[in-house]
Amino acid sequence: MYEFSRCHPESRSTASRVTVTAAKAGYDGVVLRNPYSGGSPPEYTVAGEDELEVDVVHGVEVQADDVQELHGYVGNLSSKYSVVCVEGGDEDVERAAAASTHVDVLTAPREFDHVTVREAAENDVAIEVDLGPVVRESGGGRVAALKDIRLLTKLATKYDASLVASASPENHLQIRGRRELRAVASLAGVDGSTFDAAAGTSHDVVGDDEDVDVEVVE
Amino acid sequence: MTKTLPKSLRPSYRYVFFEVESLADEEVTERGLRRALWWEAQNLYGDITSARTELDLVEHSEGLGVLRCRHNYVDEARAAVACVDTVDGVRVGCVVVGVSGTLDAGRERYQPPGEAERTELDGDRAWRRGLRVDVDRSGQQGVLCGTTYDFR
Repeated sequence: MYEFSRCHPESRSTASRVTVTAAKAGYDGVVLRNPYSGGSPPEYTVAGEDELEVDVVHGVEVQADDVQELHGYVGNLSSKYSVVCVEGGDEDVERAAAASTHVDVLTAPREFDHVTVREAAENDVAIEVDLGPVVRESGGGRVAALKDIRLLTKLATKYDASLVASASPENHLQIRGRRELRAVASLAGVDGSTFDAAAGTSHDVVGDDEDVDVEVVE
Repeated sequence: MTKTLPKSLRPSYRYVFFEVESLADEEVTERGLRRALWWEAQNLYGDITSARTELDLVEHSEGLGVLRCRHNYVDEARAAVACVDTVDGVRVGCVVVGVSGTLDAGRERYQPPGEAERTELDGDRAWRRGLRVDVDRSGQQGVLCGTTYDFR
């Protein structure tokens, strides 16, 4: 399973530190996903990359205000990064991202419906089960996130859409152990087999063709 | 209740070993960590499941904590560990390194990361623990967290 994380200069944790922490937490690799909303695209310096235990993948998380901006950004970035994510938040942007062949993952989906999920399934866009707010917030923020996750998993099952799971860490301290994340997901209503499938999907997203050893955790 | 029950009714526990990391090796107290775990459990799954889980922090030293829970509730213990974000205002990251049926077996198997070595990097205070290096670039960007590969 790959975790999708931010790193320096967007946060205080270097790419190398994020990767070392992810290895300790039980992941097979890290997808770096610093944000992009125009201007210079993120660049990553992964010190000691050859010596790190797990894989490091260069990705980007697009933040677009509208559909036109989205198409402009992802068109340019898809050739530069192995994984292109689009951050949700706007209904039209989420739907356009789900329908785009340049997008790999729709992250932090908040304004989705069955049409968005169906489009994502048809266009091979994975949707993120964002466990970050479940883990880091409480009360209203957590409840809202749990409601969204519940709806998302229902729709994904109905339309056979792919999911990826993440704690959406911004720095190394926010990386959660893989099995802890599975436990939280289970309490959030994402059953073990769905989580394991999401773990497998993260390998597909990064283009890992090797046989994935998906650990079935009881 | 501390009376001795018949063997068949005695509860079975598991010991969840987890590493606790903070920025620049800021102190994390055992008391604060225990309260944080209980608070997170309470918030996440409420009184009833908390009562069934029987979470208790039994040890915490040199960056390694040990959380006891009932044997069927290890996932609940893991989830509580996952939800600990701060302890008394100190930002932390907790990762479970293993689960054991007995405390002694776990202590043998899971070693604490140890105290951080205080050092210096280009005149700035730094803390090193194995590959991990935190540097306090005070006045610029605060604490920068990297590895020995970043700073060689």
